Amino acid sequence: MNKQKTKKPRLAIISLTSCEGCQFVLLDQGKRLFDFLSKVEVDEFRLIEDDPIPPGRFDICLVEGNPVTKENFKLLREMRERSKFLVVLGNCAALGGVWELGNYHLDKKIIKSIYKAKGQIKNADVREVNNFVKVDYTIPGCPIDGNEAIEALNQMLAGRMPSLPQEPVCNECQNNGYECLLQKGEICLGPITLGGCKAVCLKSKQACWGCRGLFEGAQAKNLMRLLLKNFTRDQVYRVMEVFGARDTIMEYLENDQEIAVPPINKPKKI
Amino acid sequence: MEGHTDFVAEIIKGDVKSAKMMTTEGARLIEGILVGRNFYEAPIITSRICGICPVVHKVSSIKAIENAFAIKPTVQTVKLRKLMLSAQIIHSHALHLFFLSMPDFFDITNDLKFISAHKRETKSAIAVRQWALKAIEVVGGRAVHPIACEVGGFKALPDRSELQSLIGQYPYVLKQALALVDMALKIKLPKFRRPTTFIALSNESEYAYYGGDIRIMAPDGQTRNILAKNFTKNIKEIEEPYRAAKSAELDGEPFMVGALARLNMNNKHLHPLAKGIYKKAGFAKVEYNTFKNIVAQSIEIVHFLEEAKALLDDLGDGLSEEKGLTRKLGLIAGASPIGIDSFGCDAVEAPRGTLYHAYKIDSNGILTDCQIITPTVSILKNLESDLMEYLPDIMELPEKQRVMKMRALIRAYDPCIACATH
Repeated sequence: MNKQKTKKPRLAIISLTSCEGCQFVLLDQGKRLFDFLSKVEVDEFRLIEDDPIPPGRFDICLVEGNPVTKENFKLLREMRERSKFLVVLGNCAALGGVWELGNYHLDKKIIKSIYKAKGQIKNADVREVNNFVKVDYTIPGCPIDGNEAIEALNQMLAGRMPSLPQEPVCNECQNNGYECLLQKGEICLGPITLGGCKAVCLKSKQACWGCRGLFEGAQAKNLMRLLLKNFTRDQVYRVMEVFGARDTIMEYLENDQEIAVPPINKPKKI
Repeated sequence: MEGHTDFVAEIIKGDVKSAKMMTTEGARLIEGILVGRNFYEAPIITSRICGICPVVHKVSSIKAIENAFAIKPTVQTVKLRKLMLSAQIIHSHALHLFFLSMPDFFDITNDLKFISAHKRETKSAIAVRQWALKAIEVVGGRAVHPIACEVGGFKALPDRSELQSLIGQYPYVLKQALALVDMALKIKLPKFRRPTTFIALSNESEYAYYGGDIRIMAPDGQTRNILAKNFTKNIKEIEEPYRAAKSAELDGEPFMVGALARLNMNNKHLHPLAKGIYKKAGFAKVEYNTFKNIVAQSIEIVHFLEEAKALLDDLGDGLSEEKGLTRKLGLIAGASPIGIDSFGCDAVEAPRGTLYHAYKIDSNGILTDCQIITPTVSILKNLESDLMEYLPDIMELPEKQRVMKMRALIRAYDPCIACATH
């Protein structure tokens, strides 16, 4: 038999505008990450190397952050064209991240008060990566869960599409015996948010603010109804906004007649 | 490095006319985003400024808000925060020193190649980082973007057995850290000297990082202290047309913050092991070679390991099940506990230097103004001045080598452009 040298799959990890925390989660996996990296050809990993992006096609491209600057958009589109499989990494790329708050509440006056020089800030609204390019897979969370991410990447290498169990954060929260903050009277989005995070926030008694987005089949209407009994719409929206989940949840609820939903991007002024 | 940046120098007939660090990171306008949000969201949102130093953003934000409300956290709360901050400095330095900066001195541009050439040292660096990350996870609930700390205290307390297991691993981790220090001390650093102003927190009881006055050391070695609340009276943020990030000046002059600044001013408070290394490492009384920031970081890794160990010993013995002040004061409802408009600010030492957060909060607990000055904002001007001074020294070198040298100097500062362009 011919001994053919098998070429390793080519990997690129790029970062748009973000805190780079998801790349750090990967890096923080230590040996597990380096074991994974040894199975691929790492051709772009800006956090730890300075070489220019080499030519050719990539098998997997991980994208962290939001496209905000012209350079961000150019890089994103180029990498989409050059990559077989484009994976978004984390809440910013997947849902807009905390930066999306600016879309709802930031007016020009505020920008001017922070950056007085003119023509400096040319930022567009912060939007999810899938508004601009096709996304093949999403690794959710702010930040991502390291185990889940490495597991998913290994699946991809093996040629399988990784699948996340479509279950709410509540399942893991209850299995771990954490206190239910929804019952305690806080706004918690655990019942509609995709699990897999081991309910890490609930462990620290922080209510779920939906950073991983909705799971398929989430009963968003029910939760909304429940929350509106005790909270104002504004209070609920504000929690949904922090990790950029509000517009996704609104889309989900759009056809619901019982809860009249004001148009997105025009929230009640505080 | 963390974030993206380009460097452009204008050289006319061998004279360096200008040196500019251009940030290509998009501005995220976080100070604007915070206006109109409730105060308890500030620590959660500001920690997202940076994936490598979320702890320090969270803690300075919390401290600034506590100052606004005149809340004094418990001794235990302060110890837990200090443990997280120490661990933060350890893992950030270990990453920067070993994975980002050191390859420059071995003429390697791709850190992955560096890693495969230095397997044993990689193992040491990873061991040190993993321990520190675990410490943050144990106290804060998660290593990147910790959860448990909030205005007033902690939502949940660490598991006692996990604190004990950190103590158990300490001797091994310290040994690995000392191996890294050995490696850092062996690097042949370029000769370079440009007297500048240093700024760091300082107090009489310790190697300051959680609080204290702002100490300023002028290029002539004279020091003076200002109160942290007067930070912005002395240090001004400026905008340059060529970058989205702001930069800062003290009385119109550049200044330096970070490990080298802290070591220059506070070395008498180093823990014993770290102090021993400092004395042998050949530092001038006031060290002006910026490249030595790397060695300073390695010494700080040891110091903060010793600091973390002392805190762990304290906490491991007597962690009391106290409830955070948050619930006691009714802060969870989000209203201002003092019921009037207030202002609070504070400075904390981040891995890269002094970090300042300030907030105006109205009587309903809503943020009406906010200012954050990050260490990388502070050092940008100083870095540009250093580059102006250093360029003529290396002008004769072939281009490729010259680029390597410049890169090494820029990286010795450990700039975090993500933080700068918040």
